[in-house]
Amino acid sequence: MSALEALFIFVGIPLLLAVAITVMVLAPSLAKSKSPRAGRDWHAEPEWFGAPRAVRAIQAGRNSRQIDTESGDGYDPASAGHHGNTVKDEQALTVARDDQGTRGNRDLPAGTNVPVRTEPVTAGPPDDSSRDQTGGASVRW
Amino acid sequence: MSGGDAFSHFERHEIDKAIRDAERVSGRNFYVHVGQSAGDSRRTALALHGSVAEPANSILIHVDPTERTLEIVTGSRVRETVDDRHVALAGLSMQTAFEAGDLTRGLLAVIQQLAQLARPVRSLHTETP
Repeated sequence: MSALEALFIFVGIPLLLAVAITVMVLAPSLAKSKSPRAGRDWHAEPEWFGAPRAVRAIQAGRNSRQIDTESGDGYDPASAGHHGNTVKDEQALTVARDDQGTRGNRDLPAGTNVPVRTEPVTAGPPDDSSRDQTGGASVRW
Repeated sequence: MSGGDAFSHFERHEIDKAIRDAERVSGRNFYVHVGQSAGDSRRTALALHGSVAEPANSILIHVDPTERTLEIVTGSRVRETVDDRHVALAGLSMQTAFEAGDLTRGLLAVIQQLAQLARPVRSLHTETP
């Protein structure tokens, strides 16, 4: 075994392994650090999960008053929120259109120009009757 | 991950999967909205909940990272079986993760807990003559 080979085996390979392990350990946290932090400096786009077809229907330019997106072409039934989304009013459409639901964007053909919202959700006061019937909780962190 | 996105592709996939699982387990519709509220976050959450297809059978989770608030809205049919205090406890499960800046892990915890809470109660005596 020459000196060069010995150097490669006893120094080079361990060094490569050490670098590879370091990269694998640090990669997730480096990737995560790009995510915006919660707080006043939050700047990320709003996102919907579980509301795919509302956004798809809007993109298709259907009637904004009563959109039933059940029959949307190419919809993947295995995707989240497979529960017959029916957007009932203009306010809902505003929210869905502006928020660009995750699944909806994913379904759009490449190169589709999608308007992106940069302001807070424009939601009007809820119906009093629905407020009485709903439950839930508020948590601060 | 492009600049300005709150979640990576993998994180979105994880949340989608959690929603699918929750819907399968509970039979309820789950929606998650992450974004700023227009004024009061509770009112925004109620408005968002009112805009979905079956509000009565739906659970909406609204996270406002700016105000650091989590709103959970349960529909009237969900409320028949899920107590608001239990929902509040489920909401607390996200606190540690959210404080650490991990929205995804917090959301997954909340979704899983709510799915367990919203499971239909099986009666073993309905067939008794």
